[in-house]
Amino acid sequence: MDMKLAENITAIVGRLLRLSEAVDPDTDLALLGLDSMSAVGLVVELEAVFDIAFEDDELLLKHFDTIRKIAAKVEQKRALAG
Amino acid sequence: MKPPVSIFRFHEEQKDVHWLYNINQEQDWNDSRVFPSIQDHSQMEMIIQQEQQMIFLSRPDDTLMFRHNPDECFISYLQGHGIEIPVIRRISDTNSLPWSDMRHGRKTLLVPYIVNEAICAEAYHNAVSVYGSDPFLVKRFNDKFQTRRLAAEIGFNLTKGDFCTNERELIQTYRMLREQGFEKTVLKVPFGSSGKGMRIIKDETSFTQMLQFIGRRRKDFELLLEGWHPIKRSMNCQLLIEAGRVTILGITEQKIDEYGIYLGSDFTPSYEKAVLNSYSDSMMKLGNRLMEMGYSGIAGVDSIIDDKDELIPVIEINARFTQVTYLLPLVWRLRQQHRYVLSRFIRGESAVSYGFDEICAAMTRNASGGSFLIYNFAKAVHAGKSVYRIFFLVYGNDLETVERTMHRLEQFSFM
Repeated sequence: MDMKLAENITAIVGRLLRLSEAVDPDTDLALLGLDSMSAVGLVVELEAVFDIAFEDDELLLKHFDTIRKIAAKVEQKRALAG
Repeated sequence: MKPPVSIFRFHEEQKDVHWLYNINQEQDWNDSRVFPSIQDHSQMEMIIQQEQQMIFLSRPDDTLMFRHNPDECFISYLQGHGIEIPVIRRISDTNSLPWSDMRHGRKTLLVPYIVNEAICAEAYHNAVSVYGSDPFLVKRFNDKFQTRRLAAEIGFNLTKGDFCTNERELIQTYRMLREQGFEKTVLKVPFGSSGKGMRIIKDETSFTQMLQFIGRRRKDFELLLEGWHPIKRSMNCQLLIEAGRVTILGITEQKIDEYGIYLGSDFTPSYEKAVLNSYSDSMMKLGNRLMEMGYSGIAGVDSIIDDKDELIPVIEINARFTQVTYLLPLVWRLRQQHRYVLSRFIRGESAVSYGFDEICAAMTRNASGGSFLIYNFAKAVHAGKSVYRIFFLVYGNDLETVERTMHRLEQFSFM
């Protein structure tokens, strides 16, 4: 996992979920308040910050429920975008 | 609140009534892929379990068609509270109903959560009647864009905003709303309830990001961008349009979160007489208009009084049953002895799988003597963890005690 990318994503998630403590990459973000509504805000920001676009079938909550999964998804999208 | 001894005419007639909870139809009606939406399959599983609410509006000799098996202890709990449970018939899918088994010689009536074309076509083919309106009218009145236009025609106050068909119009409308003093705005698609089908845009950065999201997908579309009016009161009116009459079944106050998601209702709100009269008049005007246009059945109307004390009678029409509709008989029963009745829900998860009895006992301890009644117990198991969503009514004659009980239960932990 790209640590710099993970840090950026952690910061985005932290702001979105109003977290005051660091988040472990494998922590279930649902336990910290992530749900389908707040995940919309996350997806919109990830697309804007990293200049990527998710396909409709990728917009499942289970793809965004840990920092590690989000980082993997973003890395994959960036690699595809070249 | 009208005592629903017999809300529906079909319960006075000799009909074999079957209830169906075909929820989430509305989002399927959105044909725009431009709007962000995240699917959460575990939550969908629990939303389906809300079909338990049909228990409270049905009669003992009706049939409820369920897509899940409710916790037996929960059913016993309801029976212990004097609630009679109709026949529950398990189905796999709302798209394949046991039509031939539904007919028993008497006139069979299907009462769906929401009427749609597919259900009406199949029901007609199988000589089963469907309660409610023409499906085209149902779709029309559930359409936020159509209801905004209807509210304008009637002459109701509207939220500030406009329809936008491209990026330029979105930017223009956004700037106009900011100039009018709106800190937040809300972007809407035609269909979706309880926060779905709308996206609150809290600042300019969020708006820019949303614009980019949309721009990556479509250049032309139809979206509704409105100012988010700070809400002083958030109200709901249950209308029954039947046999040439419009009846207000009840007026409740809604609690909504920062995303516009429904959190619960106050079934015993207090309003100044002038406000209540004005609101009731608006609702009767709306109901009569819907009736003139051919609509019949239930309609739940969401309204607000904003921070400038302006009544905006129609934010949204739910041309279908709603949670409040299903709860009317239960709430009426509680109101015979209790002055205050509120509803809320809690959700959470645990590594250990708890059954209804364990959760109920723990909630009772949390409530510390306060009175409450669980009306929906939903549970799903995913990836080794159990997730729960529990809806309950809190009731009593002292408001402070009722609110204290409600707060205690809202803080309940499943761990």
